[in-house]
Amino acid sequence: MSTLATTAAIDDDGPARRHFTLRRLHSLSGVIPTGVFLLAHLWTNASALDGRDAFNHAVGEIQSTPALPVIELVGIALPLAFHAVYGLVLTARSTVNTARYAYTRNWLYVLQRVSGVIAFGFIALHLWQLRVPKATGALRWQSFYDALGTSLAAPAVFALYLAGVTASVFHFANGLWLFGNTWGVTVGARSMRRSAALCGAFGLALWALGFNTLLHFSYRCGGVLPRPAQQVERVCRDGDTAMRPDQP
Amino acid sequence: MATDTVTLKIKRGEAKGASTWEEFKVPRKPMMNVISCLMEVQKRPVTTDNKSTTPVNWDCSCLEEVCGACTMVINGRARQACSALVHELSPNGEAITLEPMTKFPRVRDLVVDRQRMFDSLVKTKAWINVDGSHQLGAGPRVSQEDQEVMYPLSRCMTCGCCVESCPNYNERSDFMGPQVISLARMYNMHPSGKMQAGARLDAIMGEGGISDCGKAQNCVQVCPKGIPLTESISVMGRETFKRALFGWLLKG
Repeated sequence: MSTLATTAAIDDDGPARRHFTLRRLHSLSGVIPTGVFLLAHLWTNASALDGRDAFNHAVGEIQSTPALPVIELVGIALPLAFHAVYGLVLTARSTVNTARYAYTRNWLYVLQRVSGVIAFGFIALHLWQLRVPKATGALRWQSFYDALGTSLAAPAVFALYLAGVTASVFHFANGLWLFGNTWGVTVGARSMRRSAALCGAFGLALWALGFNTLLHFSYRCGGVLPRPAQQVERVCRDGDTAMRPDQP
Repeated sequence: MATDTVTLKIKRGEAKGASTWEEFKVPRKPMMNVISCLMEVQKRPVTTDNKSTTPVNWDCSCLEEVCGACTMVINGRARQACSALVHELSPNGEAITLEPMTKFPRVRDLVVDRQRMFDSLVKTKAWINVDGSHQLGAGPRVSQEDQEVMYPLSRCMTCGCCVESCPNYNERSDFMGPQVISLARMYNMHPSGKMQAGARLDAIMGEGGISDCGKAQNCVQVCPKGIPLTESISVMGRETFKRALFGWLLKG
């Protein structure tokens, strides 16, 4: 009897399934591949801490991946675009009531949406600054290191990148918590608290990695933390062939 | 203990049109609740600045926090007026603000129409089919373990506190709210209710169902019955996923 009822209910339930599938794809696409990409991206970028050669080596390895444009489009760009646009649709249907119900989770609910919108804008800007010129041939990836050093030396750009990285990392870490909740992995109040602590620690570590990389780019070119003027000249203006500043 | 009166600030209005605030002072008596204050207003509908006005409309029934009829926004928080005690809300004569819930159409003053919640009970078949043309006999036994999970869930009175505090429950979204998801969990655990388990899962997988939850978790904070609503949502999140993943295999 229960089988009969079950089958009958499924037959006329196409629209319900589409709704459910879209929402779950939104949840999944935030972690795989978008979140995993963010993790890998910040990890690769952190190789800049060892200087231009290490950075170029790491980026060069990625550039030599076979079928890279296909992977970039199908594996990253399309899922990210879906996650971002569908996320904006969901955000438009939400409201803010933290004034009356000032609970931590309610604030995180608001921050998840705010950070999503900030990350959306930042990623668009970031692609415009580096990925679009790379596609048109205006900027080679070998010049990324110096281009980043030069632009991040400006306090406004540094602040923008800091906001973008912070928003992206927060959105990912809190999104991981939401993911466990949505898919029924963390069910009880206690498991939710524990996963919150784990996601928070993970987010902080990832943020520290991103922040350190940003500081590095900015520092080398005399932005936030000033360096002797001569060295700044050499590092920022000499292009690909410049010597590493820490080697005479 | 400062005063011998209770000050009420009440947001009033008709089904359509603007709201106005009116202030009343009623005689303070021991162990008053908000309902008994409203009864005093009804006896003498005169505002603090001595204007005669219409009696304030409100809804109530059980007066023991099990029916949900008197739910309103008291001092900015959705709760039942019957269990809102004056000596707790206003120990030193502070004014008590009363507003209708904001997520439902207002009927008049503090009375709202909670039909949207009742509609979602219908959509999710939040009941157990026991009617038949013949004697069905006693139902199967429920294990002690299941009873302990189900009993807290059964305390839901569809009062509206959870959806009132939910940022995803609004006029731009079809979200049914946490209460029916929790009830679907309960009825799906029941040995007789299980017979419609698939249909309930389908109902909460559709538009306005479980995936419209934004995980702000205000519901579990404001629920007057302490129902583990977020736990229910997570459990049903897992159940609906199983059905989405394996359900199509059952198609004939």
